[in-house]
Amino acid sequence: MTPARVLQGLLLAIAIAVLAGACTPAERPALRVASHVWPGYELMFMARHEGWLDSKAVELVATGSATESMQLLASGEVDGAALTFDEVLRLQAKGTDLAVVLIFNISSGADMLIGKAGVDSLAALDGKRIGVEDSALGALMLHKALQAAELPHGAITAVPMTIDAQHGAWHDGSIDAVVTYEPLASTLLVAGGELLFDSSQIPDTIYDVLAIRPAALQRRTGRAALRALLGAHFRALDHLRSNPADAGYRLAIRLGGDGPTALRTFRGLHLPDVHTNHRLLAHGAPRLHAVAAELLAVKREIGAIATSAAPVPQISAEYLPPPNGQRTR
Amino acid sequence: MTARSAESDEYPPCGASSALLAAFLRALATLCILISALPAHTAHSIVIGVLAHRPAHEVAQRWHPLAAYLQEELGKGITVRVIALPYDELEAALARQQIDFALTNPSHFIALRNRNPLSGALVTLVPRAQGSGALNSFGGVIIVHPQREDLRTLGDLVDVHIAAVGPFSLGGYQAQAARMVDSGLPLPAAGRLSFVGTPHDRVVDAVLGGHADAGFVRSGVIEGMIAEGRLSAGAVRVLAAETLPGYPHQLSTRLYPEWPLFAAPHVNPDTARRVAAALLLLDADSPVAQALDIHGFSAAADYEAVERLLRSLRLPPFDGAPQFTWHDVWQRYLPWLLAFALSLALLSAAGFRTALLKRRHEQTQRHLAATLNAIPDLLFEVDGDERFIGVHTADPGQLYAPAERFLGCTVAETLPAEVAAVARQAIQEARLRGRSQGHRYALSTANGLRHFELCVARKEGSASTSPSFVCIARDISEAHQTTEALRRERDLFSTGPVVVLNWAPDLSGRVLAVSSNVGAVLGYSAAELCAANVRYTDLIHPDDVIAVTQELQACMNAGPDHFEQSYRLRTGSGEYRWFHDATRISRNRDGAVDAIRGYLFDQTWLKTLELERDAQAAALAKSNAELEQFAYVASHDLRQPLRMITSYAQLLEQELGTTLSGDTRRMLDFVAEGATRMDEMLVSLLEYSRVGRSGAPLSDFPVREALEEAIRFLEPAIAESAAAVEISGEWPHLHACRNELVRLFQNLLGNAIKYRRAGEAPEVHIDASAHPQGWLFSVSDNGIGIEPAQRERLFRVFQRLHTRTEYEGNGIGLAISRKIVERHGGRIWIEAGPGGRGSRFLFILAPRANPTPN
Repeated sequence: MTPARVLQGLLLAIAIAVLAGACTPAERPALRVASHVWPGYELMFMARHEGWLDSKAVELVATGSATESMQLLASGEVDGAALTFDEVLRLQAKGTDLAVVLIFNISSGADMLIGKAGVDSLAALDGKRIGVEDSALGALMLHKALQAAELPHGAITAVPMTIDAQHGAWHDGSIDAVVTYEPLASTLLVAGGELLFDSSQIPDTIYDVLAIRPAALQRRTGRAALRALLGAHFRALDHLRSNPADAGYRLAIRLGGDGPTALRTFRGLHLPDVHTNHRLLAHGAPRLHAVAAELLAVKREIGAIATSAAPVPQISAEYLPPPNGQRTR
Repeated sequence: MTARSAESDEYPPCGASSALLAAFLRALATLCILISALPAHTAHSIVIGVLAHRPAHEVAQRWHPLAAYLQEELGKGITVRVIALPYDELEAALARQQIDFALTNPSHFIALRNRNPLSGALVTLVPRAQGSGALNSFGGVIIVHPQREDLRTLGDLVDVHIAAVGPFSLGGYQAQAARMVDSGLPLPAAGRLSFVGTPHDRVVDAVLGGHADAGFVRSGVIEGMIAEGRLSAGAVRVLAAETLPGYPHQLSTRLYPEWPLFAAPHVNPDTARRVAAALLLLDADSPVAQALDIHGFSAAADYEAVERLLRSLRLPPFDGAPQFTWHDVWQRYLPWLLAFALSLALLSAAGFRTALLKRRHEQTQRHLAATLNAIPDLLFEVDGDERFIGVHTADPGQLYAPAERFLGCTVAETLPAEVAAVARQAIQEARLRGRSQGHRYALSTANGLRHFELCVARKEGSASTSPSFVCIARDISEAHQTTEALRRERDLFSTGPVVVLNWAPDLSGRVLAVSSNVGAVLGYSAAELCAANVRYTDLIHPDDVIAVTQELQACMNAGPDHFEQSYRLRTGSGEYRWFHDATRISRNRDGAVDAIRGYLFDQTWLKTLELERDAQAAALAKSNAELEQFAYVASHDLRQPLRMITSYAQLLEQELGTTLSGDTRRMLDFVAEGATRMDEMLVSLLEYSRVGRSGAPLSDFPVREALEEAIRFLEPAIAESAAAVEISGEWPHLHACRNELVRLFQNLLGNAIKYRRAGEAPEVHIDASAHPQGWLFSVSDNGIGIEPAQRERLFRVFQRLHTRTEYEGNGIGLAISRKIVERHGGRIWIEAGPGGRGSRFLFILAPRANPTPN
């Protein structure tokens, strides 16, 4: 092949790429990502609100709960979802092939066990009804809290419920305590709830991640959209860091309250930057694999699963912005 | 307009409150703490500089309660003074370390901090929100006249006139400008931007008064003016309005932290700490806070957002060009640099390729032109309407008319009718089938009458154009002449009686080609004869085929290169006919036979005649032989009874001798004489019949010897008559019968002596000379001569011109002479002698006479 032919090929490829880009159908974005309201996830929505995320390329589908997000992801209606790592493991175990491409946050106190008035200590949990999401994360939190309380599992009654049902259950008295997280946690604490246990006592264990179906990344447009989404997330994170006063009000659009209130919901959350994400996701992601193993062990312990082997999703750092990228705003 | 709302951007609002008692008690407690903590030597004055965004005395007066509060809080030994300074003076005072603390807007703080060794922000002012509590942040608002329907988005601001507070006003210019830059829009151009100064109401007035299309004011200004009744709701419309939950003011930009208070470097850290503590402890409900109309002070905010804003707007202290190193450029613009380099490379490559293609194109053009010029044919192109659109020829003499006369004209308009008809038919064929070939025409050109062959090919046009036709006219005049000659020659052969055959150069007998007249002559088609399974020898009569094959084989085996034969061939009708075959064999340089060609001629009629003639000749020969036999038998056998007659006549005469009378004796003499004459005649006849019979062997000998032998026999007669015999000429050797030639010369010489004139000695001249048919001999004399009418008769048997009494003889000599000459393939005749006297006998003998035995 002559150099001239190579040149012609290159020019043709560029022309095709330009045309293909121009011809992408407007109706269906290249990537659809489901997310319920959670401070760690909200930076994506803030980026969208600020125009930093091309809604033609990425569609953020707001859901009421992680369960709904998982259903949409499992049914293929969305290409990805913001979920806890535990939820990702559960979907993967049920046959939905996933790739973890971003860590939104690491819980260091954001997940809490809150007791109603009268349940003001771990020991007071004995014999109580505790609302908890039907997830390994909920089970893990409850497990760790009971360990701290030196109570056996049989000492309490676990009431499985999704996050959007917890507020109602709290008020109608059907539960005495609840394993929950922001923003509901702050609401319950303001309403007189008592913090009994939180994830700061089990650091580096609870991750919120973005999981994408690898099939969506087989298309060039899908990969480009994912990179754009992650870039927008980190841009919003940067804005939150540099101008929290402004960012708080903008996060409040979905988190509720005003700016300072919204910022308070980030209490107990470690928002890893690009470098930290690379550190956690690259090179085989040993920490995440260890967490996966621990979650499986808990599940086995509480009898949620029988087998010890379960598929672990792919973990990829390749869609993150480069770690040395210096954003100016 | 009250001062509070007017100053709401650059200046935290102040107000009054009751709860004085509580504040007083708290302040007292704080003071006790501060006093107890202060070292004894710290008794001095503290100067707090406040940005004078309004007339300095107004500002100083407004902030006086704070000075009083701090002085009270810090202790009696310390005097606290607030001075209001404009931007530059505040900066100068800080540089000269004439003030200890400063309170200014965030962007000014950033600028000052970069030029002076200041502390970080100690505390941040918390203004009082409209009718509510604290408000930690502020931003900018973009206002337009509500009837300006053309101004809806930020993009609409690009070309309109804008009123703003001032270039260093965060809420009155910078925040809005940053928002525009953030949205990818250019900064408002200097010519379209008016800085109207504080208070911010001026901006509102400029917009409402039509002096500006849009205005930049601090957040809260509009709400304050409405609350104070100086502006009706809806009097202005906010562009790019943001609705942020819990934020009480309309907003068009990001939010930024409020004014910071910071310390000069010389300030004792402990003093700074105590001042900060005092300010942080200032209760919102305290009289001081009420007097200042602020909510209080909070822990220092993060001013990075402001710093970034200044950077993005290139405002002081970031108004200088940033120091970019090549490394920065490389780091930051690597993808773009790579893309640019790639584009440049592609562009260069494309340019190079274009130049290369152009050069190749020119080379191709030159090559094409040279190729076209090298083509001896006439090329032209016509469009779908048969109109000439191009003519090319290396030899203008080929053209019927100058090339210019063709272009644009149709074939029919340009060429002679018969030529145009040929050309149009060719084009029509090409139109239907793509191409046409072989159309020929003759045309008078500058080179004379020339013959052309036309080839037309359809040249496909584009989707929108019809096809055109490329025509090539080749001058085939020479080939035409050759073809014509060949055609004539072919006609010559094909129409004649001679069939030309080409055999395979072997003995297979296969016919490779045959002239087209074979059907008429042989009754076979050329295809039949040339079929692979047909052998020519199968057509030859079985009686002849061996001879033909042998002859051919002999020729093939390095024999003669031709032979001729007559043989019978079976014709198409099954009948055998005689053909004469002249076969010619050609060989290549190696001597191998490479072609065998036969020329067949039907000679059946001739052969029939020949056969008939042979039959007749055979019958004649047989008859002659019988006659000769008869003559021999007669002459030989008749002599016996004749001798008896003669003998008995003599016996009678002897017996009767004397008794015989004269008459009887005479009668008896007649008998004897008759018998003698008869015997002589019989002897002559016998001699005649013997010519060619006795058959002396043929031999080569000098003819002169035969003559001389004949002269010796005639010696007595020559002597008696005193004849003169002269011999001349060139005498040959001949292959002949010697005795017969002696007899011939003897007869002719004898006659010349015998028939002499009376009283005149004979003169005989004998000559020999070459003759086209052989050798010519002549015997001339000066004798009595012979009448021409009698000359032919003399060669018959027993024919005489004279009586026996005049000249002796029995008339057989010349008959014998003719027989000898003819037996030797010659002829004999008589002419008048030299000078008309006497006779001349001439005869010709073939050079190699081959006498046929009788």
